[in-house]
Amino acid sequence: MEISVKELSKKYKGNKFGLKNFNLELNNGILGLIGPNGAGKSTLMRILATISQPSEGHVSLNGIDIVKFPDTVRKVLGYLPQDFGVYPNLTAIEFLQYIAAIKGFTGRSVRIRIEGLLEELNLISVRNSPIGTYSGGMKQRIGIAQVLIGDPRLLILDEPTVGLDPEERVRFRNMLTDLSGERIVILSSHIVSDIETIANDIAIVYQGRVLEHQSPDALLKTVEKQVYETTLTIDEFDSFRTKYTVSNSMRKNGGWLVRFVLNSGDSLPDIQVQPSKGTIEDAYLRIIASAKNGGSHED
Amino acid sequence: MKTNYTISSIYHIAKADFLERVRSYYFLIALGLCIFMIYSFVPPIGAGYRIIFLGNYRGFYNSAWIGGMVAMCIPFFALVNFYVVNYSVKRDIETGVGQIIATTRISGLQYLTGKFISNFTVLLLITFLIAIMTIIMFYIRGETSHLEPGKLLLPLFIFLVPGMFIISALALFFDSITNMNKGLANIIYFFLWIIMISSIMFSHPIDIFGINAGMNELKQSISELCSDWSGGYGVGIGVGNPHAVYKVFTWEGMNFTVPLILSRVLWMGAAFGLVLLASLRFNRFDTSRIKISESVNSWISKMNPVIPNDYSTSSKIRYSDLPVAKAEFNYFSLVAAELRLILKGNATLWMLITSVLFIVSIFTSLDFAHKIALPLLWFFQVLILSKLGSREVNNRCQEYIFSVALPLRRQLSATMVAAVLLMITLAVPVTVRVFLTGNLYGVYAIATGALFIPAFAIASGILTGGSKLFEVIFTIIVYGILNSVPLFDFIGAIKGSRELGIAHYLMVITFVFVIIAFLARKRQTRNVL
Repeated sequence: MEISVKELSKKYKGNKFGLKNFNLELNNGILGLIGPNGAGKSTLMRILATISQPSEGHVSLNGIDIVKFPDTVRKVLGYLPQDFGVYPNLTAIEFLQYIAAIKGFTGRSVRIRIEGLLEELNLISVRNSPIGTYSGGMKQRIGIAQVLIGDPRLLILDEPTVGLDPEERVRFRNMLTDLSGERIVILSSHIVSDIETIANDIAIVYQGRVLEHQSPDALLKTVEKQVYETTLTIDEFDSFRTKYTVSNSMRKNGGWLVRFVLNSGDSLPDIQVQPSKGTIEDAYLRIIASAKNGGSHED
Repeated sequence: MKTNYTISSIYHIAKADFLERVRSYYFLIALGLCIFMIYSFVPPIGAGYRIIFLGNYRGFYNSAWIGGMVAMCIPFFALVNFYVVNYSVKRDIETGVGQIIATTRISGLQYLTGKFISNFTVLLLITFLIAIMTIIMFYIRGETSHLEPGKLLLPLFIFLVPGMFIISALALFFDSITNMNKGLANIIYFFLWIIMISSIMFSHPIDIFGINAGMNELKQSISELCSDWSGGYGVGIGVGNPHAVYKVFTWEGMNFTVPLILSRVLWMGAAFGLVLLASLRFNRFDTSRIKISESVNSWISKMNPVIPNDYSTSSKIRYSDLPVAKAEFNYFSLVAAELRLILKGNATLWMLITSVLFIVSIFTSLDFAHKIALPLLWFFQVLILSKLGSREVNNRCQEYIFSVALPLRRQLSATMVAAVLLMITLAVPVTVRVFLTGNLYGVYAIATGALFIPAFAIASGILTGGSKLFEVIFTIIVYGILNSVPLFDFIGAIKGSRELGIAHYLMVITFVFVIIAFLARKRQTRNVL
């Protein structure tokens, strides 16, 4: 499977752009989309899920235009929106049977698969209770279950880990890595650690454009020898963070242990610093900071 | 300082609510309905219907008569406008704004007073439009061009303004009962409204809108001026012979006596008492109390308390071990799933009333079963039907449901089929009995009704994104049937509707609604947000 997004733009009222000349080529594997709020991640996902139409540009799945032929995508799609609800009076089994029926899956095999999915998502013990009585995290897992009913070839997951507690997040990540074979998984998240461990590729999106689309290793290389740690007093910290991109800070011995990323053009501060190993989050912050400054993040 | 805070908080509650309402589609729909109603309530001379009956007389269309006619129609405005302002507190619950408000210093009384002021201001705006429309109607239908503004508009001020005040308070009272389903509140109000209307017919002393006082004034005038008046008077939609010739009675307007005005003021005071009463039992968006009451409405939820996260078991299954579901679309399975979705979670009261009316439709006289039991049986499905077109959006399921393959051909059509099946099932006893009498037109009309109502419900739900439009119009249609108005006869039971060919028109309208529903949903599926 391959998805091609070319010069895609989505224009809203008031001449505002959700996406602007967006380009992306995808093959089988897991793509992580990260970016600040309003970057265009959900807009892109809705267009790929065929429930929103672009103002300009082309999107194709295996060479077929999905705007003209949305059912090309819909037949292979499992989609989890960022903000979704459920039918509260149906039980988990009834709800998933309903979704299966509208997706065109019926019969005994569906019932067995639904039971299996509920087992895997740790909902089997409440399968006959109305979904309206579930907690937020359980409803989120029902959302994930509806995505996986038809064993889709294309999964679009917009902030799938929202509402999941740490244990469930780990379980979900393991489940995604278990999804193998000929399929494309696109997931967005604000939590970089949810993405860096499972994605084959990461796309950093900002103001409706792709700033970077690389493998996690390649992204890590962009912050090699660019991340440092230092210890500062409270007063020093206040002025320091106006000059440098601080990726982490924690109180230590009455001061602050500060981790920071050097942006292009930044020079090392004239204080004692120790080099630190860069992470995807450091790379993300560096790229976004560079874009905000209107420059390139490349050295 | 405290007074400033109180006034300021009430003002801002009222302002925000007012702006939210007047910017909604429902407000525009209500304005449109009011314009249509005034246009209809001042019928052309020789029209096939009357709104004010005066036996063998009709009023001369001067300022006093037209103003009085519009003012006497306050019960009809009361029906429509209640639905315009009846969803204010519950919206704050649904949007979560209520919980933010609950954490502020504002008291329940201040909050509800703000909401009440907003309700009343919205209805005053509508009253202002009614006044303008009444002036226009004077020039369209008047038999004289001599406009007397006082006689034309004073009845509106004396009757409509207090009436709108009372409706604002009543709506808020129902709305503040946060445990009550909003649809159920609509139904209860409808029956309360029927009782109010009935009180006019029987000149009951409880004269909430002042109609009895107004009609008594009119009665007194006509009996003094017209010795050959045949007697008989009333307000309502009445179909008569368009060719009938009535004598003309020139009315110089109402005598607004002190007792009449005082009674309006007293009723306004009583209405504000409802606001105070509502504030006493208002639960300040206590979600625990709201949740408990929600579950009471649904028999299935009642059996299942809220479930906490469960860590007692840990799954050993891996995704790759799961069997793959077989892609095999089955339309009957989908219709069955739709039926399950439609029927599940409805209130116990709904099940009870539906069962009773179904049995009534079997064992009562055919005339009663056809004219009364069947319309009521279908009417009691209003809360189920009104959700059908907007269900996905209101439950926030639209993004993943609209992204499945062939959403129109499969899901939308299955929803329609399931709803039609429900209507047909409920109508089986009456249909069989009508068939056995050889009344094939009756059978055809019932079948048309069974198609028309779901099509209308779904189309209006998709177009408006809510349930209110269908609920209001369907209520009015059912009221028309219960009052034997042939124009509204979607079941072929009212004398005269067959001659008018109502069922044929309804079939065409149904077809139009189906097309509208499909086109609107198609647009919806490609433009989520």
